Amino acid sequence: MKTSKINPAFYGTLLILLFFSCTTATIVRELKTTDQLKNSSTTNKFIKAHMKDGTVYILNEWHIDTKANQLVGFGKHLDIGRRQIKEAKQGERFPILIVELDQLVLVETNEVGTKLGGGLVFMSGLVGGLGTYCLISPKSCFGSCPTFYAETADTVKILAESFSTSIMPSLEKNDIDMLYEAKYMKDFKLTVTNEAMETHSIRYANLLVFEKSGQGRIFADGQGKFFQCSEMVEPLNCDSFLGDCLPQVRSVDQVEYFSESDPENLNSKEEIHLRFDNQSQNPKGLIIGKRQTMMTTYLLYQGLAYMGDAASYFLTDYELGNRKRQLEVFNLLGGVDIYMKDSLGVWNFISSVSETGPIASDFNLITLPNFSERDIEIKVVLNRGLWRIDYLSLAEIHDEVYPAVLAPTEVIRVNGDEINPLGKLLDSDSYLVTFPGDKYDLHYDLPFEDGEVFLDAKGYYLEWMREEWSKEQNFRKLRQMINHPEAFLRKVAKDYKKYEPVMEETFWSSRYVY
Amino acid sequence: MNQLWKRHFGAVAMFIEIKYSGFLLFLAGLFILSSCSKNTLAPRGKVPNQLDLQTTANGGWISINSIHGQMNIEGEFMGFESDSLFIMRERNLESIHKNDVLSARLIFFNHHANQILAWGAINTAASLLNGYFFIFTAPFNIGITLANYSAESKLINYIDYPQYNWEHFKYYARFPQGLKGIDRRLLIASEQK
Repeated sequence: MKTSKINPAFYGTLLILLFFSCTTATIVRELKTTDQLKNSSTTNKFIKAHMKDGTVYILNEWHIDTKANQLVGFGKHLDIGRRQIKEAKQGERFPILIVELDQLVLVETNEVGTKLGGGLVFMSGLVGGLGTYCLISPKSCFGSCPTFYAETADTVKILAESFSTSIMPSLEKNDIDMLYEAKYMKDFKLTVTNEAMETHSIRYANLLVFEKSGQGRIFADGQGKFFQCSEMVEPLNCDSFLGDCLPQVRSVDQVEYFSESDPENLNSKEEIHLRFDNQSQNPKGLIIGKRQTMMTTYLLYQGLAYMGDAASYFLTDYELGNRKRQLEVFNLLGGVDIYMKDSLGVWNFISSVSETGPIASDFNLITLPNFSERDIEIKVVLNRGLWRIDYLSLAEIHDEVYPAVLAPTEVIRVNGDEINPLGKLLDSDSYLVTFPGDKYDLHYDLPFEDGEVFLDAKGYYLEWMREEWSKEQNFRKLRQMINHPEAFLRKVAKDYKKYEPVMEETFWSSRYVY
Repeated sequence: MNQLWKRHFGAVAMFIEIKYSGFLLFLAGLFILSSCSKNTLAPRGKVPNQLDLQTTANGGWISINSIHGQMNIEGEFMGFESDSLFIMRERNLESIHKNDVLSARLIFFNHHANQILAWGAINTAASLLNGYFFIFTAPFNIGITLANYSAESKLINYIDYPQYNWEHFKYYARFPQGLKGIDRRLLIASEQK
């Protein structure tokens, strides 16, 4: 049988398509004052009369009674919650709604247009943000990177992980971490290690040192400023959807509050409600100590696994700037958002903090607006299963303080190939490059008898592909991760659930350590 | 045997005869139209459809990307007061200062393009039951479906900040007049009822 020619109906269809394609339709909404309304026609079938008290009348068949200074018509009167207060229908005995014009603020009209109208084009913008790092630059999620150990009151432990988001040379940046538990000593030692299958390039690793006065501590506010703080008080209440979380957040003790991820959708938020006793009228801030769970690490690995053998191609392409698409998988997961309730009961957004990586807790100060009520109520909004909160307290904020910046005076190679590690860290044009298993001791001469110490390190690192990841190469899923992050986070939720209970333990036991 | 089968099932035979041209045309049309789609969707039930815009009085659905690099704030846009935006999120009234906003998207209605497409596909498939008339009814169904899909999917249903300034956003607030003078305690209580 021969193939038929396409019949005229097809051409007709094609014409319809071409006629309607790529035109846009618009909705026209206008706001008018009372005076403008008086001068307008009643051709708008529906109007919305917004009243001073926030209620609204939705009217049709309306007119203005100029003598009585009223707007009258049929329709509905809705309260501020948009529940119906009253309805007046045509044909009823007392059908008319009466709106006093002096109580009217604005009138809204809508021209919803025809289905086939066209003309106005709104350009959509790509929303961006730090989440871009996580696939373009996956380490914002990977917890390894250079790890720094220091002596504490009773042991030596990891106190910082540096430049977590800098997974490519083009993403090199500095990262400031508070060494909260470090024991202050005149001869201060940091041990930097490479414990993952990565290449680390450290441009510098300096200390920011503040002289300590009294019992207070110094915290960074996230914008690069440091403040003397005192009178840290724990919350009166800490309520999460899992119940009382006060025992987990009242002190820095590695007993952390965390929840499990939502089995239906990794992009799922939860709230922690805090109440503090506002003991004085001095400026206040919320101090939060937190780290990430393994969720972002898992997503990073998954992204690299989907890239498979082509990972180097993709990452090189990003490095060369050929791929500009902003990725939102990690943006959707978000940071830790802080809200404070005002005297009217409104939750005012204060700030958002984020620190990538699951290895070491970092501490942030969030400055709060002045508040005179006895209780301060804070709401912390965070993604379920993404954060481990170790510490939440309210502190009094005093003066801004400025650090002494100290480079290491000596670097001892414990394990590694670099013969002049100190020179590399002091030369701003070179890097101390480390490989899996490398370890260097960095010594600093601290100036004060007692002080607060922060680490300021700059560099980048390169992830090594694991052979097992390549087996999962899947460009279709990679596309979904990049182009449809919301759907991806729903789809991947069940898979993540299989790993979630054991990931933390597996991660720590998989370190590459001599 | 093959010819016999075709004689008994004329519609299917016709479908084979035209070598899937209708289906291909449908796909081509879809491609053309989807390439110029201009809208996006709010969560189901959070905003009205296009025609109900004039008879409902809630604010649009706003998603805010803060300067802190997160995009965690989503909810009904209530309006402005001084330099802050107010959002009703899960029955709580929240505010964010304009200076903290990196970008925002406000969706004021949802379209039904996907439903139209689904029903259109069913209708087109049902054209097979028309026997030889399929050759006329299928293209007709395809044309109508695509025209409606085209119109629906190209409705402008959102605006973005900073492409549009805040003045445009107030038009789609629950309280376009602003929150000054509105009892916020009552508002919160009303939402939490």
